[in-house]
Amino acid sequence: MGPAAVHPEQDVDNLRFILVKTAQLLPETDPSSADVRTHLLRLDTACRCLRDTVAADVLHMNPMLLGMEDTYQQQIASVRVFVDVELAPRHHAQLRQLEPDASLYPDLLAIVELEDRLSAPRLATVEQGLSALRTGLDTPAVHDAVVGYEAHFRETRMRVDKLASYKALHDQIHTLQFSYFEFLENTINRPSIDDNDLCSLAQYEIQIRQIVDDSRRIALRGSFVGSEIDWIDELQGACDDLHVGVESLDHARLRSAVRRMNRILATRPELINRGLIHVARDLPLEHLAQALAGVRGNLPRDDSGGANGQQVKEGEEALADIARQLTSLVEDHDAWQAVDVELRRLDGALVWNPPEFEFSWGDLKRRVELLCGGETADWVRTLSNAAAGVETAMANTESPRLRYAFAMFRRHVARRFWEVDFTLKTLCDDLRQLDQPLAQLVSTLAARERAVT
Amino acid sequence: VISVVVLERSGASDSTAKDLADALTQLDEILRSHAYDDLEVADVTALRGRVRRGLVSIRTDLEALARLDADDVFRTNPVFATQRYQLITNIEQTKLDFEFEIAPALHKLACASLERARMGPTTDLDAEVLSARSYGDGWTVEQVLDSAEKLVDTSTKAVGVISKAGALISALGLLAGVLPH
Repeated sequence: MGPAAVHPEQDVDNLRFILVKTAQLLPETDPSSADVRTHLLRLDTACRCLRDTVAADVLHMNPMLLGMEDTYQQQIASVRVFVDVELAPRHHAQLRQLEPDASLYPDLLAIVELEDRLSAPRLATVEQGLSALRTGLDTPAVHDAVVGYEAHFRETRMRVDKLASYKALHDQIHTLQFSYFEFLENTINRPSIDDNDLCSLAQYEIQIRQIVDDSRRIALRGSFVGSEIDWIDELQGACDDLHVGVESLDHARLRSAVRRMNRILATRPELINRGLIHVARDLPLEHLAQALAGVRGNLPRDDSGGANGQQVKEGEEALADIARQLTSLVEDHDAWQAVDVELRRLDGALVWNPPEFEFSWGDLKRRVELLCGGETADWVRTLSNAAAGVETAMANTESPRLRYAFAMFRRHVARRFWEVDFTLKTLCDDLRQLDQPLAQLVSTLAARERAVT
Repeated sequence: VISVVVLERSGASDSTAKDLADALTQLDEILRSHAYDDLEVADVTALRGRVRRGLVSIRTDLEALARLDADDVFRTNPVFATQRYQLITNIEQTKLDFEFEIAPALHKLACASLERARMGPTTDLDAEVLSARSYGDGWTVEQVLDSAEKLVDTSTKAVGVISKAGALISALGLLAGVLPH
């Protein structure tokens, strides 16, 4: 027996519980307290407005109200993203630091458990909805209804698989950037490299070769071609440079390795991200939800109102909820990715073309401020302070200080990008769970077709 | 696809706002009675100020919302939609203020009153206050205090705003009659 189905209403209720409990645990002086209450107000208002809107448009005919419904659903989704990206990681970290007998521990544990359950049950609900369709195929009416949407199921399955492949490829580059590259660059740019550094570089070479191998496997499975994967050969070349550089203490080869990796990191993440976002944005989750609704609408009255119909309905609702969360996260991710690319460009300009840096800085800062969206969370304050540090250093024309301040700003942006990226990755990983029930449904349909012919 | 919370504690139902307005009215009356003015531990003046502000705000917003709904029955006017959203935001804000500001302060006031009453209960029961709540053979001071204590306890366990408010109002109403003058 699978996990118990969770209603979207229950889900929103859990979101509220998390926010209320967090607000109660946070002292009023904590800057995050205001943020939590703002999101609580947004959630309550959206729920109330949504209920009113639905009640006022029972037939779902009023285009303005339909648009408003969507807006309110998006607001609820944005609160979910806030909980996923802001609160859940912080609560997990706080819980790890607490002793089990601490007074806060039980409350925090309850919050963390709910946060962990927020996304998984929705997918379980979708799985159950799809399984209900499969088990109902013995009934001719169910079978006929499902057959009408077979193309939707096949299409979704294919795209979920492609999304997972893009994300896996993206992760490989992400690991290269955040786990290895910074260290390599710092070490190789030092005036002298000692034996310990050489050992570390040799170790890193092995680990980066693992990235090369894994990326090739992912590229093969996802049928990637061209510029989305040509960097794998380039990375292998960089590993060769690194190997020779370490073996013969050849600084030129070591620098070549860093340059080649830097070239990859400057262009390929954005390219792969574009592919990932393209697939995620076009992931037909809403179509799949519509397919489930269509099947449910065509079920005989007994099935439609029975256990199967209910499971399919819950699956539809959970899918629509996941689709909204995915859209919201993809947009966030896209925006931070663009900032990251611009930061990389300005990092070069800071050294080689200071007037260009000064010219572009204001625009970059505005873009980051827009992404902060007037929030008062810790990361926003840290980022804002780092930006102020850059401007102070620019005003004082202290080049070394400016480089340091800009590096700090870039680091904080990277940190935020990583958090959004991590949440999106988790959701994409979770979405792979849809593959199995979809595959089973499609193969059962195919087997029945063969049996008939 | 609709995912709506209709539970009372989400504040999603219109009646919750009206019930909260009624609860704030009762609280205002109780706090106006000066029965609690001597309790320094709870800042009764500030609390009453919050209650008054909440009451004025929620009544004004509810009336404005009702007028809007009457003027735009089919919800087709986008200008009204924006106004409606703002009014609902205000109402939800008042509910949250009650949940996070007023209810904890009321709870503190009720606990302090209970403690004061237990230490030196009044000898003459306020018949006017208690008559409406009397049953059977009538009340003793001890019964009043026990009932008030249970209500305070209920308020801490209550999940909904209205349940919480109701329990605290009943407790404070009872305690007002037995606090030493």
